[in-house]
Amino acid sequence: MSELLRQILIHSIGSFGGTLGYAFLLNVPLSTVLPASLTGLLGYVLYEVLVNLLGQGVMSSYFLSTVVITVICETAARVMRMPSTIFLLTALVPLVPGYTFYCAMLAMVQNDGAAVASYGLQAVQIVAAIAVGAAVTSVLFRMLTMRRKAR
Amino acid sequence: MHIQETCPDPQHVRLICQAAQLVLESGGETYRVEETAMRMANGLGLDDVDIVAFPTSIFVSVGGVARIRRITHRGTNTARLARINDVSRKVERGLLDADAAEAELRAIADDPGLGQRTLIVAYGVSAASFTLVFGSNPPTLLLTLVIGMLVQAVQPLFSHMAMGSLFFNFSGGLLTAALAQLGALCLSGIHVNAAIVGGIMPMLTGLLMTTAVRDTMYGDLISGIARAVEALLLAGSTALGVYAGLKFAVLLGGMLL
Repeated sequence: MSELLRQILIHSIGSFGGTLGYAFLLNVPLSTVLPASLTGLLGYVLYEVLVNLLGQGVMSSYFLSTVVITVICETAARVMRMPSTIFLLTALVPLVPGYTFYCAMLAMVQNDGAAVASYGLQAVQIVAAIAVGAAVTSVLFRMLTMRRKAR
Repeated sequence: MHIQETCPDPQHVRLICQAAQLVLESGGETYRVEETAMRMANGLGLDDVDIVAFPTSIFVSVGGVARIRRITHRGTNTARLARINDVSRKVERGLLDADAAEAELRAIADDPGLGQRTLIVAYGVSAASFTLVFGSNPPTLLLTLVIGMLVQAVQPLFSHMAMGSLFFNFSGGLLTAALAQLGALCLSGIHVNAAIVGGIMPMLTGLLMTTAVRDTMYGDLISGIARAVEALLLAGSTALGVYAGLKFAVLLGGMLL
């Protein structure tokens, strides 16, 4: 258990720093750097907790943590009066399936076609889960707040 | 007012085009481009305004006057998005007149953003931090920091090309994979897998996919498809780069993994 906690702690430092650096690459406004990085950290930890502690499937964990991140981002965007794209683009980055993608490449170099197909498909599924999760949530969020404004 | 309806002020038309173009060039979604333009048009008191935006072009028509803008460079610059958002909201509320808004937009367009040095450090930090997520140790962390900085350091070579990001992603994947393996050859205790994955994380474009799906959800089908293809091309070029880098190690003498 403590091993798992240590792992989650290291991963959260990693995802925080990774999101922080990425935020500068996207040239985000300085006031949003910290909130976006913290959201990135939170989303990644949530994913780890869902997968490791609550025993959820990989895809549903990606989907659920993306939904939570998107809700936080849309809220933060309204509170700080910034386009929500800023928060979304940065905070989702730790969830991008870089490892799966790399495994597919590695398998290709090793001439293992079956592994290429399996890892590749998995990466595509994860990207789809993230993209659909983020897009659907933010569109719904927007519709709900728009309707409230119109009343 | 009546005169404006028959022949809109060219400055107003120019302003709307400029704002829309900046949003698109900075990585805004299609609905955001159209929303920004409509907001400015409302604020300037123009009616009969229509705008169509694609990732590569914008068509604006204001009261019988039409303008077309070709978009050649697309990047992600979110500070710009925030500032244009600000300007368009101010114009809508009448807090900025056309001259002030035009000056503001020009200032935004001319602002170079963060310097290359900052970006180099940012890429290095981002890549090195991501290795922690994939099982790292101090030497791997340092190696990835250096690799990440090198990857970003060659970026200006490609920045003037159309679709330069394809070459950037290819060279990034290649450099990361090759240097990580060279590093593992020279230093002991390097986790090659973690180093490579960390190094390519900041350039993977799962997020462009998000924009593509958002565009599609708003009904901008053509933009959605174009962006999805762009995301696939970029991911493909990173993959090719990594593949070439790994092959390079095989040619050097056996897999080092």
